Amino acid sequence: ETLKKRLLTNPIYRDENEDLILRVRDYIERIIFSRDYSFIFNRIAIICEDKDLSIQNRISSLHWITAPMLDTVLNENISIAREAIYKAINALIELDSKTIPQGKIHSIMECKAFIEEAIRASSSSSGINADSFLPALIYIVLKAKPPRLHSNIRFLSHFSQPSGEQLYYLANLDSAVRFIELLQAQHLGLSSDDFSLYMRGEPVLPSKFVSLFDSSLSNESNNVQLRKRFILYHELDHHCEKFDENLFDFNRRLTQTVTDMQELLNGTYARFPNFEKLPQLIDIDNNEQIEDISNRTENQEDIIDILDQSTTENEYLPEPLAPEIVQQQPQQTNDDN
Amino acid sequence: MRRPGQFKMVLLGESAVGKSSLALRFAKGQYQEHAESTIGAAFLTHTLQIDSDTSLKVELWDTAGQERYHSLAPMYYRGAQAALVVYDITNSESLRRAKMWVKELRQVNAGDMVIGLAGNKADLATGNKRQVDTREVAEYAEENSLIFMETSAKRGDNVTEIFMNVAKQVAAKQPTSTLNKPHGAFPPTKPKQKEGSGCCGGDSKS
Repeated sequence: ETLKKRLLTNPIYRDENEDLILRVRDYIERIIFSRDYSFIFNRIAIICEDKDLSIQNRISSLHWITAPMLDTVLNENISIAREAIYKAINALIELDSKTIPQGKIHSIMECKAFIEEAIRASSSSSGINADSFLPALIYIVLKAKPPRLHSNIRFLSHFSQPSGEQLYYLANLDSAVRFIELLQAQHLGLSSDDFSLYMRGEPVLPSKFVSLFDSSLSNESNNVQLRKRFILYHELDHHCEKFDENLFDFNRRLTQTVTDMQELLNGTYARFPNFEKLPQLIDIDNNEQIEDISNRTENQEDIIDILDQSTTENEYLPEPLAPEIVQQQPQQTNDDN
Repeated sequence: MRRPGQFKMVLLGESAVGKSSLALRFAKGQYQEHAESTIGAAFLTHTLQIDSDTSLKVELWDTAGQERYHSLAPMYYRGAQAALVVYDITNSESLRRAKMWVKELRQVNAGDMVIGLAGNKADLATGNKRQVDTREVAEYAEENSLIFMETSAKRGDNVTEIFMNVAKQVAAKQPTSTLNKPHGAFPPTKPKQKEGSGCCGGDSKS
């Protein structure tokens, strides 16, 4: 706080040449912050920790947002634009590592310059104005996931004296953060259902589909339909995968059961050596597998059903020789499974 | 000579009504029809000579006109001494949005803010493209004490005039000294001690 007061005494030199005042101010600023930056900034960062984290989480959960959703002309498919976008992202990430306010402001202005470059490269028809700049900045913030963004903005609003233009871009950055915080489905032109699907990360649009949407953007209804179809397709895909998984699981358990049965039988044979050996259970195994696929289920009951079947099939063989113990054992396996 | 005062003016209006074109025409005397724009027009400044001994530097803050960014506008018009609300005379919907802006500004800033209303694209008035009647809007502007003009960023009609009128009213409303206040978070402080100036000033010169 005392440092802030010391800074506040700067306008003492107001009567003097303006350039000189600015230079003096910058100089003092540099001295103070090169010495005490970590102390001052950490105090802010501690206060704003929750906010910083919540913004960062929010940005992470919005990773699926594409440029067209934000109504920005930025197009990463154009190589010059992509390069500029990366540079803008880097500039924004560097914001946190700068230790003097002017350095931070410089990062923001650098980011702004690269965004303008990217807009120019992406679209020749749209001029650089707030209509194109703000969405682009929001997109960059989402992609950059700048660390401790809120703290940095707070820091700048307390400890810097930006010029009019710098203040404007600072306000833009602040707005972008606010927009991200308050973002809802209608801001992206999505239905709330789609939005929650995205938030849960269910149908993630692969880039080839995104570009497909880009090209058909002119036809809005067509676009919506395409997207719907794609989501359906995705759901189907998801179900298929689940089905495959279940099937595999079922197969595994079935084989397990069959081996168990075989072991049991072998054990029984071992104990009764004069008993005529059965052929292997391969036939039954095959039959069952075909049955599974047509059934598409993996219910416990079904397994027991099949087990019952197999035991009944076996039962007609050992009957004349079976003592009491043998009858008990198949029942036990039924219970186990 | 006195240092020029400055004030902040925010541009509001639906997208594609020509906010940025107006600003660009005003600040740079240029107009670009789809041509590649090389100048960033989101933030512009221009100094206006109000009368022989007053000049005002106008800082123009452009805002994103898309509906989805509407809720962010307060962050832009906060602290602005003036606003220019723009609509498109060939689009009656844009006038409806413009009226919303005016209402919002009046609610937030009471009567403090000087508000201009510009019906842009006046060059398209001939033919049957016009959708907004001039007289109706003039009456509306009268009721709400707005500075109203129909402008054409393309031809340059009334562009300087509307900015000049707004600036004059801003100047009349506030003594220039308050317009000089710095924009940062720092309030202007009373100049008192002079001791420190010697050493620091000397250091920075070297």
